[in-house]
Amino acid sequence: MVSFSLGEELEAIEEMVQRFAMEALRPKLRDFEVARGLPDSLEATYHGLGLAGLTLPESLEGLAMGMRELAVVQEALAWGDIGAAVALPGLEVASFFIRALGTEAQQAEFLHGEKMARRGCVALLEPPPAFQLQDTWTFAEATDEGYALFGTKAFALNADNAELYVVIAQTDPGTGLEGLRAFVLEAGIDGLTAGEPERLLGLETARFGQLELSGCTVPAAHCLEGNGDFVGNLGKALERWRVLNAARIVGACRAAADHAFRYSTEREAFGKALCDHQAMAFLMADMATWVDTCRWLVWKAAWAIDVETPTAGRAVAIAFSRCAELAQRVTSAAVQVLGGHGYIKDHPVEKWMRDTRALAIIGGFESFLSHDIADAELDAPVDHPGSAGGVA
Amino acid sequence: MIGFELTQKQKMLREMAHALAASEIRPHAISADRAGRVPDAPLKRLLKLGITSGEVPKSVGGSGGGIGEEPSEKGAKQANLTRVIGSEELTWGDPAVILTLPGPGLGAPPVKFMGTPEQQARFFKPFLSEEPVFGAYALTEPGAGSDVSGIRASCRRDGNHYILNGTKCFITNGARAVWNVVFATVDPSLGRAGHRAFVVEKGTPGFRVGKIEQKMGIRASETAELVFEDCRVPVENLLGGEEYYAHRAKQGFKGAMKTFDATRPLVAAMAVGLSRAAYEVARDFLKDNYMLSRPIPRYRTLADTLAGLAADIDSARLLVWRAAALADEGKPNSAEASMCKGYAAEVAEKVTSTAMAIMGPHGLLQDNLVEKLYRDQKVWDIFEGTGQVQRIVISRRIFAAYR
Repeated sequence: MVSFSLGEELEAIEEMVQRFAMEALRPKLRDFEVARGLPDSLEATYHGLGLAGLTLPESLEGLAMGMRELAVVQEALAWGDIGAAVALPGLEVASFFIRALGTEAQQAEFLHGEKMARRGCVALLEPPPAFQLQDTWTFAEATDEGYALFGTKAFALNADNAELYVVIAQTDPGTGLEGLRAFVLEAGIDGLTAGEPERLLGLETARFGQLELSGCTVPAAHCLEGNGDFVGNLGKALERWRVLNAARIVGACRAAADHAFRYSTEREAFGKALCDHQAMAFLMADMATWVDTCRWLVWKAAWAIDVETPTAGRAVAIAFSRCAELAQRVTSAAVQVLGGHGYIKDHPVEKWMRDTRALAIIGGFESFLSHDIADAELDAPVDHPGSAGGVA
Repeated sequence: MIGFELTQKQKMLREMAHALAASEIRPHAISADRAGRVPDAPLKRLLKLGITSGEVPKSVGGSGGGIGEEPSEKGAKQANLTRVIGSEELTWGDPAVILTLPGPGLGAPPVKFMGTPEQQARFFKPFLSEEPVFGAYALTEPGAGSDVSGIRASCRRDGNHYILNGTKCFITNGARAVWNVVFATVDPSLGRAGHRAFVVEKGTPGFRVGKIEQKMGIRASETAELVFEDCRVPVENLLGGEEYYAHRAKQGFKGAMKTFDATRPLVAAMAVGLSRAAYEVARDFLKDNYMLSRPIPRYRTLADTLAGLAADIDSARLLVWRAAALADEGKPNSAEASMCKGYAAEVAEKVTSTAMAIMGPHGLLQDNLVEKLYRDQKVWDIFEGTGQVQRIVISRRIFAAYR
């Protein structure tokens, strides 16, 4: 059945997260940004909510929820502060990769129960411009003990402070995507060093940096073989990651829109409230429409993953690319509504504009997605109802 | 819980509507546009299957379940959602044919919401026929469009009649209608409080059809000018009777206006359906054609363009579903209804114009369905409230929450 309702349980969770976002994140978002991270006490409070392992199955002591629940939770967190939503510890993102690519024994070893509250780092990208996964240079050399990893990863979240790393490396040079494997590394092993976090346009609360691998020794048991289809399953993990980030973008957009709407009722110009000027009112009507659009696209993509529709990949690509585009419009419009006040750091709207742009680029490889959609479209059966609509 | 799976019943209905659109509607799309009218045969077949422009209430012997009514069958939940799904599929066949479906059309809600039981029985009776019969809704005037408070058509009581004077324009099916719901004012200075709604039957003395408009698009749909010159309408045809206006003078016809909350998602769903039709033509063009020995879709710009249109159509549909779902839950949806209407109209313009561009000069050919759909779509940003009116509605709702 088509439904836009959360249901009682999820509504209660959303309310709890909203309160945390409003009380613990929103008032401090500038402090986190300057400090380039979150205070330990805040991380402890967040752990207290008991949301680590939200999408893990019960067999792994998780909450056995789906991407829909995760999207709702992450949107609420990001409404408070999108930087904090990205930076808050938890192996949720790493778990997408470990579950998609690892055996049950590996999943149990790395993800079980309380381990989910650890900080994770998934290292996919590499320094060359226009990098694509098939160009992966990081090399995993087979040794007697397992593998030795050599190479450089770039733009990896938590590169310098993670407790668990998932590194994508090439095991068979010249084979492109086919030779890729993922390796799980514990923090502190020899040969693993991280650079200073990069200074980026936005998302400074989170730490994205380089990772140097100079002969890290990884036991063979820590190689994730991909469960029979490494590339396909890697793609599935990436889909979950994109939906998660798209939900965060929606949260920040909603925050920016709320802020602008309120400001426009309080600020006067030419003798009346800003919102009573039709040029402003129409802009804000569009902002509200764009935020709604993104939200439903994210929910639909999350649902498509949860129920495993054959068109889930398409729904995810559409949701992410549209969120990336509309986030720019919404947040930029929010700055515009505040005018000069929006451009200075006394209001958070300029931060939301920078943060959402950063996540749209670093959190989903936006520019690759149109191919995914186009391929899905061109393969769709002609003349089938909803063939362009992906109503699965 | 959040979900996007249609029920079995909705899926069946969608498949059925699609099959019908493909077999009964699409084949007439271009020829009806050229002829400026929809042939009777397909309309009769649609009518036989119960597909009309507005349902007749159960109380007067109809099927019930119309706009703004409680679902007619037990367990028939999501009446609005089901209707928008059907609306999208049928319009995929052809938008102008859909606007020509027999039935009371937009005239049904005012008769239903304002009319006395006697009036409802009398005015809905013609639609129980198996022949195509039309009703129409006449509000717009040459000098009053979005701002309906500006209507100047006048009415004054004279014995057992009201005397109507004025001109109505852009009235869909107005000439062929057995009756028009006509809005007139007792005194323009009263604004909406002065408005009265009459059912003016065909053949009423002093009522005549003026010109039939030549339009840019939806040419198969009849758009008429209606002229009232000392037109004598019996008092029994004043919707609701005198008391209705005495008690509810200030409310005017808020009840009738509320139907927009239910009709806007329907109209938006039509825009989604016609967008999809145009999109599919362009997509298949890309699949079937090769350029410079490479399949065209391998060209990055075209792939990007196609992907963008697919995303637009999905976005618009979800906004429509959201507005319909709220209506089904009995929750306020004015803002959402306006969001989906305004957005879907924009999407329709973008999709049809881009679909033409994808095909190059082939897209401009009058034998190409997209050429027609591009002309058709423009009116979706005009009727049932222009894009600007939608933004007025949305912004009022937004700011009400902060004040």
